[in-house]
Amino acid sequence: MRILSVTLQNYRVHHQKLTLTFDRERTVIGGPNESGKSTLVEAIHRALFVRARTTGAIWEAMKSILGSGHPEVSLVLEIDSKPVQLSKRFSGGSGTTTLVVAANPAVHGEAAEEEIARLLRVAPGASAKAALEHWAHLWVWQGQSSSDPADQANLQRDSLLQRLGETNGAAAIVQSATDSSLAKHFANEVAQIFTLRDKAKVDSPLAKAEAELVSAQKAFDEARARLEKLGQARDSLLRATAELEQIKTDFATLRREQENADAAEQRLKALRLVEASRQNEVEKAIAAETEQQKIERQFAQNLERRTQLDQALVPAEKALRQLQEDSETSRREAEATLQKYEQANRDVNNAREMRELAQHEFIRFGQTQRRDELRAAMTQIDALENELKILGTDLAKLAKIDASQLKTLEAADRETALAEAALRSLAASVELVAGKQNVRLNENDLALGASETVTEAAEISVGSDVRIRIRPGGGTTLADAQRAAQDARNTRAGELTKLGITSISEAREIFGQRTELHARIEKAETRRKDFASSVSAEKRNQAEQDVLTTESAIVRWRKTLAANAPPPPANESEARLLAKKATEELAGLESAEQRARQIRDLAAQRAEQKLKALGQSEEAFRQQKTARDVAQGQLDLLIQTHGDEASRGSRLTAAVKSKQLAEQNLAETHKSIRDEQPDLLEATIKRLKRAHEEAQRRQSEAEKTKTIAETELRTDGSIDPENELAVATAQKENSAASLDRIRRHAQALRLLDELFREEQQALATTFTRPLVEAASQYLRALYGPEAKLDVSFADGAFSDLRLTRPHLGNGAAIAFKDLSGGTKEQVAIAMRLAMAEILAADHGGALPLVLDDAFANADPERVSRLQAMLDTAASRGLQVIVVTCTPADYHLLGATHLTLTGSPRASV
Amino acid sequence: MPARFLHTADWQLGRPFARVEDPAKRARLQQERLDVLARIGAAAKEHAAEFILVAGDVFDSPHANKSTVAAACSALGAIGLPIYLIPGNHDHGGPDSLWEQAFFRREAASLSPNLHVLLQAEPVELAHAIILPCPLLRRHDASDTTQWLRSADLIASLPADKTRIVLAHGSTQRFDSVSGDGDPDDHATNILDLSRLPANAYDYIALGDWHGAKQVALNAWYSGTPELDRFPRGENYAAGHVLLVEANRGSSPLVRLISTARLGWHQTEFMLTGDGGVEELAAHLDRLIGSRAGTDLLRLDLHGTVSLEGAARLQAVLESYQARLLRFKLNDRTVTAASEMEIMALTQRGNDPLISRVAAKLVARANAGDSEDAVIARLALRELHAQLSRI
Repeated sequence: MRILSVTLQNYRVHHQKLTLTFDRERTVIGGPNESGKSTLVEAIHRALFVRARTTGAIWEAMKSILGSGHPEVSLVLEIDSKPVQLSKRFSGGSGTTTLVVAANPAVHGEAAEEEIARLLRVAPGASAKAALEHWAHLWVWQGQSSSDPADQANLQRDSLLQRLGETNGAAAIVQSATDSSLAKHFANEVAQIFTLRDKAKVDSPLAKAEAELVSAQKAFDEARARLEKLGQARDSLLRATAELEQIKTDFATLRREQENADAAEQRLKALRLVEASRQNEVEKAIAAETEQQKIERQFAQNLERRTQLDQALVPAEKALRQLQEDSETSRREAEATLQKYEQANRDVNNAREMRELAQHEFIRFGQTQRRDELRAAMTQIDALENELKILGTDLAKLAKIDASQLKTLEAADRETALAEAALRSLAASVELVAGKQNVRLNENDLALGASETVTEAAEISVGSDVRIRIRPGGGTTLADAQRAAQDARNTRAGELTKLGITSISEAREIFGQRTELHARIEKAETRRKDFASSVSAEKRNQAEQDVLTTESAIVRWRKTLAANAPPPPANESEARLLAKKATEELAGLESAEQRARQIRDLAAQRAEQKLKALGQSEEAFRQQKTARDVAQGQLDLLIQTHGDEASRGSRLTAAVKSKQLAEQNLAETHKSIRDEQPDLLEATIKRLKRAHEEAQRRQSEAEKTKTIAETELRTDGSIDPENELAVATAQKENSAASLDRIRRHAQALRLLDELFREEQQALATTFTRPLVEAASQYLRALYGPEAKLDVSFADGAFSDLRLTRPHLGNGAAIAFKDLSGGTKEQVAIAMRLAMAEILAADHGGALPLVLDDAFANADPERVSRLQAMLDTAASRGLQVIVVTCTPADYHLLGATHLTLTGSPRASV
Repeated sequence: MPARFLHTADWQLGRPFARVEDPAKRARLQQERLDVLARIGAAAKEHAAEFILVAGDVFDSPHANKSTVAAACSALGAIGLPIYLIPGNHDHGGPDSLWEQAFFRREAASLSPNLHVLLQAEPVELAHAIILPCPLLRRHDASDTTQWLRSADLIASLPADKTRIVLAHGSTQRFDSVSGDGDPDDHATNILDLSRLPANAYDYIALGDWHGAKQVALNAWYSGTPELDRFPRGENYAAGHVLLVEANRGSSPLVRLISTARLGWHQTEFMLTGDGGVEELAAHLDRLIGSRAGTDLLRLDLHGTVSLEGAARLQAVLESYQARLLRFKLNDRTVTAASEMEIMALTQRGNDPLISRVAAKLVARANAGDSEDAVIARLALRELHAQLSRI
């Protein structure tokens, strides 16, 4: 089908009649915006597909915006190589349609509508709205150039399917309803059985069968375990029973062995007793022998000792004698020195007597002189004492007035005088000399010129307002003064009385006498004291005594010395010389005596030592001798106790013999004991004890095992474990078989589903190949010889359009929706061209393709290449009609250019 | 004087029939084993048996549960005649066995005083006979329980005039899969070597273990089980009987089989060929089972090939019998293979290119032998076919 020309009037902006004649292959309609280009191609579409009697919005939209005439569109077409003229007047319910095909008579109205629908291969009587969608794949409306061409293809599906089916030759490649239904059926079946992850779905028969097998296996395992446990318990019981039997036998064997061991033990015990007794005998025999030998040893020892002692006595005695001699010598020497000393001593004593005599005779001269002096002094003292006695008597006759008493008397006298003077001066005389006012003394008026004596405190009042107090004597009363005078007189009298005198002057006289006496007494006393200090009765007596004593000593010494005594010295100096001489003599003798004493002491000491040593030696010798006697005594006692050597010898021999016999007996017993193998017996007894304990342990173990096994075997009888296992086994096998069956069935269904899907895909690929090939060829003009377009066809719909360009995106296919705006337009147009090319076969090999501003997003270079694509389409039988506001872009297409001006009118 | 008695064995009371999935059917099978005891009692009375010998496996397990024990004692008590039994390998004696449990002893004492459980290998003297029990005291006994019967002293001690009846449980032939009828692992044990028993020492040997009635020596018989509990082995598997025995000292016993079974245990094999195969099978099963339900058990070995359509029809037929039979043990070795027509119909659908392509792939996979993939592919083909036939 080709559109050869169009004439329209009163169609929207095209008020005036407009006729355009199209090129059979390539037409470019240019014109500025608002020039009615889109309206023009819309009018052609409406005329082809919308019934003339259409009303409503679609009709309203067709109406002229400038005039009131009804829209009219006339088309000259070529369908199946025949000229067709179609005219429609859209006047609502009265719209008219006229169709003239070739030379046939014109048809009108509904018949014409139906006929044109048939010729255009669209459903007749379609609603206006549906009609707007007709040939949407051929009409690229402004702004729709990049919509997904798969959608367009789906709108033309039936026609496309038919054409594509025919293209593939004889074999049917389009799945039937039956095909689809079965494919769906198996897909559903599989979906109900399997999850997306290929597992059995919960509640699916497969899952149930699997679960059933698991639980059957579990039941089987349990039943088998139960039975095995019973079997084990039974085995255990049988083993325990057998073990108990065996233990019984073991016990019998053990008992026998135990009896043997006991007997051996008894024998051994008896032998041990014999052994002990024989051991005892041996010990006794040994003791006896030892005793004998001990006695012999004692003999020998004692004899030896005594002999040694005997031998030792000889030199000891010799030494003792020597010591005795030494001691005697020393004693004599000591005696001699003693005598020498005693002589020296006598000499000293004699010298000492001589010296004493001399000294006493010298002393007697002095003593006699002193005695005579003292005798004179004593006479003087007696005279003074007599004088003092007389003076004392004189003093005693006088009153005892001393200086202080005199002073006191004089003080009392003075005090009396003073008190009397005070008394006399105390009274005051008051005399009113002048005054008019009444003056009163105390209570009495004082008369003018009158004098009053006041002796005590008085008050003088003058007039009524002057009062004067007077205190005579400083306030002391007269009475006080009187009393004081009296007291003083009394005191003086008292003192005089006390002294027994009558007056002060007397006192003064007495005092003078006394003072003189005292002076004389004192003088005498001083003299007496002078004598008394150098001599006293005692001293004088002593001196008398000394003379007497010395004289008696002289007498005595002279008597002692007798003839030896020298004549008495004549005077003191001679005496002194003699005394000195005697003293010197004595000193010499005393030092000789001293020396003699020292010699004497040394000798005595030496003699003492010798004597002491001798004593010790004597004692030692005595002891030695005693020891020897004791040794001899012991020896004698031993002989007395144990007999002589012969009898002792026979006793010792007997003891040795009996010891040997006892030892032999013991050895025999030891052998008997060894024969009983006591070590082995002990081990045996221990072994038997262990074996017995072990057997008891085993017995208790076996009994325990038996009890446990019996308990386990005592079933409650509610189930039969063998049969349970048989049932569980069968159920497990049934479950397994059932699962196998169900699984195979599921697998068969899955296989069907898979095959259906595979074949659907294979069919779709075969089926879409011409379309894909055609579209790819168009795109190669743009993207090179390797470019390729693919489209899926599944479940009766085209989808998933994708473009592959080797030089872009690593050659991966890119989904349509992911392409850029420009590429989308280009791919969409390629698809439309391919579809149109394929569908053109239904329309006498040609179809128009209207592109209204279809390449708004293409760059100029792309547009120029698009022209090559459009040119190819035109050369393959399509009528390409391009509507554009930039017709210059299409100058390379070699198309017929039509231009609409701003004010629409035809222009060729 | 001859002894007249019933010889039976292998009652296996309380057998779980674990492979029967339907609990009601399991209960029914278990009940039938108890019910047969009444029929045995009736037979004993009818044939004037003096007593009944049970040669082991009275219970299916040595730990039969209380309800089984109580039901058994009740049924045994109802028989009234003296019953002598020994434990077999299934209900062997021993410390943990039910024979030692207080509950069994109490129930037996109160419900079945006529029951004598022989747990000792020692002669039991009756009026006209001596019973020589050979009880099994463990599941697997490597020794021969009849060994004690070889003793010359024992034989000499037996009364000369009384019929000597041996009561034993086990296999008489070593390694012979046909003679042993217990579990496979029991074969090496519980062997009874009857040939070693002194000739003419014993008059009748009552055996248990093999579930079909079978004579194994001039004087030795397996009674078999009175009610079958498994599919028969071999052609001459005379199960479902008790033996009426008349034995006398020094002479051969007279033995007669008395049928006691009620349930039908069938086994059959069928080869499916061609499109008519399924219908032929249906007719065959109809002949075998008829319209009965709840009384039969069937083991069916199926071979051959079925088309997808045939497989669907086969499934329907089997479903019916699955319900009707007490047990349907199906050994299905059939191969489901789409027929040429079916393949055409699936792969050459001009209007359904998708189905055609899928089916073609499945056919290719299904032809890859017996691999798991092929099996799955065949299943998928059946599924596809079934789904298409629903449309």
